Amino acid sequence: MKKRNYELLVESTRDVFETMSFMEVIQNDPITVSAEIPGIDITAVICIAGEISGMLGVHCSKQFAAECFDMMTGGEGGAPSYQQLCDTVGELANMIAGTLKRRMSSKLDLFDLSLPSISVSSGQRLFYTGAKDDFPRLLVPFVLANGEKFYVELLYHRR
Amino acid sequence: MSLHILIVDDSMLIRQVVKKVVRQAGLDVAGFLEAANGQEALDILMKTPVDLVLSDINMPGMDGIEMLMRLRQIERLQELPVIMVTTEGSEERINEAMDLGASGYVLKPFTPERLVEQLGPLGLLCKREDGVEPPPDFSDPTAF
Repeated sequence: MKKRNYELLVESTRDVFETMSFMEVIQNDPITVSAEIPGIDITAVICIAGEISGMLGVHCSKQFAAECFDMMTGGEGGAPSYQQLCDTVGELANMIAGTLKRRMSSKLDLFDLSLPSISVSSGQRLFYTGAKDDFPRLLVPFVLANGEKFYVELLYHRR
Repeated sequence: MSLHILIVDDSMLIRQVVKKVVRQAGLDVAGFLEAANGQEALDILMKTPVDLVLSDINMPGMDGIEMLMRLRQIERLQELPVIMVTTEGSEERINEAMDLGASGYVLKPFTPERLVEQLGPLGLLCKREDGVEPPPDFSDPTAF
């Protein structure tokens, strides 16, 4: 994994959160987790296809999704429904993937993005069938001021 | 002029956020209409007067580009301001939207300031009696 791509992923994630001005996030070093990620209830996935292909995922707890919903709607949204929690995580993944795409390919489209898919389950990891053993894989933990964690995961390979 | 604004996005959350940002941007809003894809938007536009459309590009069913292409083929909608609000930020995609008659574009995530930049030239910001546009209220720390 080139360091530059790790930086682009971190910058894109922070950009989404800081532009929305609702939460300051601090990233930790990328980690390797072979088993389940603890404290995860919801995973949103954006598929990447083109010159670069793979997946980008956002993993978080229901509590984190509820906090994001509340801050993004300015508290006007009321108590979020199950569907709204999923929608929130999906849109976060969508904006992070879109920002990453712009940072990686400002002139030409290196890849296209799918609509978000959401999965609700504990401790999920992403697996990409197009991957070889040494394909780039990043799992970056982010921490909010209140200690709540979420993860952004990127798996990709270049044609 | 109070505006009837159509927000087109498959995400209910983003439609809510856009409404909040539009209010923060200082527009005089008469009412919001919402659609989850391009076809729903066209259905609304065919039977309801709208002053401004804020539309996503990537949506299930009819996307924002096709919606834009189709509405520009309808004579009474050819001058309707349509701003694309999207994560699709490549030059290629933006040029495609602008060539089809988009009035502007805002990349997600976006600030109220960025929306104002796009609305200013369209003359849609509400004006005081002296003709000066009021400063938008960006004091809300949760502004998206």
